[in-house]
Amino acid sequence: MGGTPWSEPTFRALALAGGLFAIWFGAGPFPQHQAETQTQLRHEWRQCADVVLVGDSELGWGLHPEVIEDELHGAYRVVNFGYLNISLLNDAYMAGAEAVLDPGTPHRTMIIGVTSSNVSLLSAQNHRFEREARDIAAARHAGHPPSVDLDWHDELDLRLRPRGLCGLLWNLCSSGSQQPIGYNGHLPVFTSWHDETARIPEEIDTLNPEEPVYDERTVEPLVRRIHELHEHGIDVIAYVAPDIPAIAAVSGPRGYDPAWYERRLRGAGAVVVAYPPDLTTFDGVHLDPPSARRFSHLLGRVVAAAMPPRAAVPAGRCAWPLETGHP
Amino acid sequence: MMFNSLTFVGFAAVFFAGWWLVRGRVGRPIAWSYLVVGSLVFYGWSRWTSTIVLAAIVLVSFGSGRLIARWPGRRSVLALAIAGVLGPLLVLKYLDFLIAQVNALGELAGAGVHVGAVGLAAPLGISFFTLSAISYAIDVHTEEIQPTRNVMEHAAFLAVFPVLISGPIVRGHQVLPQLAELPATTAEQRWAGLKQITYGLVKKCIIADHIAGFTSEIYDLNAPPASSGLWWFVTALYAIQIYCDFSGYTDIALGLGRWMGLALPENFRHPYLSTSIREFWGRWNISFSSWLRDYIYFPLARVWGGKFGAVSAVMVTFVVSGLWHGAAWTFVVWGMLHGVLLIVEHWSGWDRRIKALPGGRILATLIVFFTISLVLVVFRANDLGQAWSIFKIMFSFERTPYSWVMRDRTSFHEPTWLLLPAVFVIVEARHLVDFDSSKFAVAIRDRTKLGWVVIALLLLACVYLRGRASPFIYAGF
Repeated sequence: MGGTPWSEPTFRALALAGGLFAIWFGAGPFPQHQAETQTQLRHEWRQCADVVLVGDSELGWGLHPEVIEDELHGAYRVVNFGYLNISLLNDAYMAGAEAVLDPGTPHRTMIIGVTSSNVSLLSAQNHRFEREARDIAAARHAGHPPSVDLDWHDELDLRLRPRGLCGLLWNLCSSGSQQPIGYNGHLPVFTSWHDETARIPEEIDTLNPEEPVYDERTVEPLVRRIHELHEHGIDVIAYVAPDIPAIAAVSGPRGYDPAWYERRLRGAGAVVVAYPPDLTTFDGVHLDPPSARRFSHLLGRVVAAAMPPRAAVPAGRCAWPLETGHP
Repeated sequence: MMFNSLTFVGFAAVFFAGWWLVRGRVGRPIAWSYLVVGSLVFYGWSRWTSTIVLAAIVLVSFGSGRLIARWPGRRSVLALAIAGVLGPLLVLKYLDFLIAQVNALGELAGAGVHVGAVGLAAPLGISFFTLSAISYAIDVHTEEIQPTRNVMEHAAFLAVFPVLISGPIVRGHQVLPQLAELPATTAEQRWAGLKQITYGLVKKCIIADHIAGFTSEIYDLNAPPASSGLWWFVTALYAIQIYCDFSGYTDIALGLGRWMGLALPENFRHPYLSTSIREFWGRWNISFSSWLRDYIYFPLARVWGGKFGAVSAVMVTFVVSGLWHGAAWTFVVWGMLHGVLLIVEHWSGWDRRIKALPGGRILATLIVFFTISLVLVVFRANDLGQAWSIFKIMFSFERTPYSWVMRDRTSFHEPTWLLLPAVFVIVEARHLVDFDSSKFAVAIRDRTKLGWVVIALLLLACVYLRGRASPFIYAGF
């Protein structure tokens, strides 16, 4: 071995690995594509589902509509409206979720996942959902596809996620046209390069430390919304996720008490599902695939107990799988 | 900073670009300083306070080496030197364990006194560089090596980053002469280093991390699933996981060492091909087992003498081995079980008898593998109670189907699992080919002209086929 660096197998291998990595890194799942899909799906579904799940990424990642549908013997349609990014249970988002439900069916259910992230005052100030709705409408009006900005950290994370054997080979064959979000909002769980336990406390920490964050102001809009849903004939099932210790160290002193939220939601007439204590996560925060699956089964059984049995989805409903209009 | 992190990829790119530029163009003190600064950045990246402990041990070790050389033969100076480097390890790693035992004894005796835990966190890898520092002091005392004269050279010896977190435990006679020379790396070294790093990453990121997701899920269930078949399977898998995790780390460390021009000591030689427990310990974590042999077993056996002395020395050595892995009774019992196994093997000679049978070597290999795997249940269990429950399930031969565990409670359905056995065999077969000097093996190597393509593909696979990222098991020790 000698001569130029390229005569060395070491540098040839590293260069080839770098080149291949650049191809896969640039290929799917396109983070931009994925974010657009998430946004578009949530703004384009209209009046098709019987059950809708709302909440942040703890719900959005993993909870599986099809597993819940299995528990309902395929007679009801379920959509996961969970929203990645530190999320929001504000009016605009909840109205968007309600619009997914079919007003023509007598039995509709909304499953609300409450976490310390999505009921904080910070989430109340999060207007991303409305902003994206406006952007999509404007883009559609202008005749070009909508775009969603991701910060570099999220983008890097998405591009470096392990794909598994199928993902790797699929990308090889299809140049990354994989669409990771299902028509029903299911976003498969990936393993993550980084640990989420540090990021979320930092986000909670950005709130004014002098001000109690989790108080009446954070639950009152939710209670009001549950009353409205009941008036519209929509049953509400809710669960309150406890915080892992790293997040509880920040949210606890600011007043986050899952038991208090459970009492308030129950008082508003929601069926509150006890959060199984043995669910596990893949990154410290988000449920890992087996836990997400197990929890989906549990929620499905609770929904099944609340919804009357029927043989099949009534005819004449909108096309299923949903047509999202996405390329 | 862990080898399987994106941060490390960036660090290594910068470090080695600088190293290959400066090496050969600057004097050795500057090269040592470059190594030390790089190692401190690597070590202090996630918790900079760890570097204070590391620096303190380096300075104490350096100073004590000088003192030992100044007063040769004085055991008191040696004892002081050992206490100086061992102190931080004992306090940071074992103080809370000791307090818990005192509290438990007090509770048994009805003393009603409760001492609060101190809550100190031991820096990563402290068990590894502390043992290196102890061996250095003893080797200077026995005049096997000369003490270092430059503190940067000494720091480069104890704290060179590839071995900092999980070994191998380096000794003065292995590394100091190389640091004194620091020859420029050759193309062959770089290629051999890249291959070894890649195989290490494959073992860790593809094999160990995929298995880790599954075994952790099973071990972390509130109640162990009552299926003996499942536990036998998990037990064998964990044996493969810990081997791929630890030897994967070692491969990466040795490969990085080659890129620096350093030949670091091998730590594994196909331990699961061993035909006896004794042979296993000659092939597994070699730097540690030889350290125990040279600095604990031999001196104790010499002092105590006779059969009883030898047996006692074996047991003490393995209890120390267990405690070295962690301040928990599971590790102590794991060490004691290995001591008992070794003594029983020595007295009964079962391995020799079985190997004399037709196909006996294969049978002995299987027996050793399953014995080691079984003892690892104690090592991996969250506590002794869980280990006992698992053993009861395993030996009840309960035939409860466990498909529900696989389907609903674990990530076992991930298709990448299909690859694991093949990858494991290939990686191990690669070792066999490398170590085999037969003409056949040489012929295979000569035909692999496109080896660099294979290595590039494996590196890509380590990124996109990796399992759930988990820390190296031995980094916690």
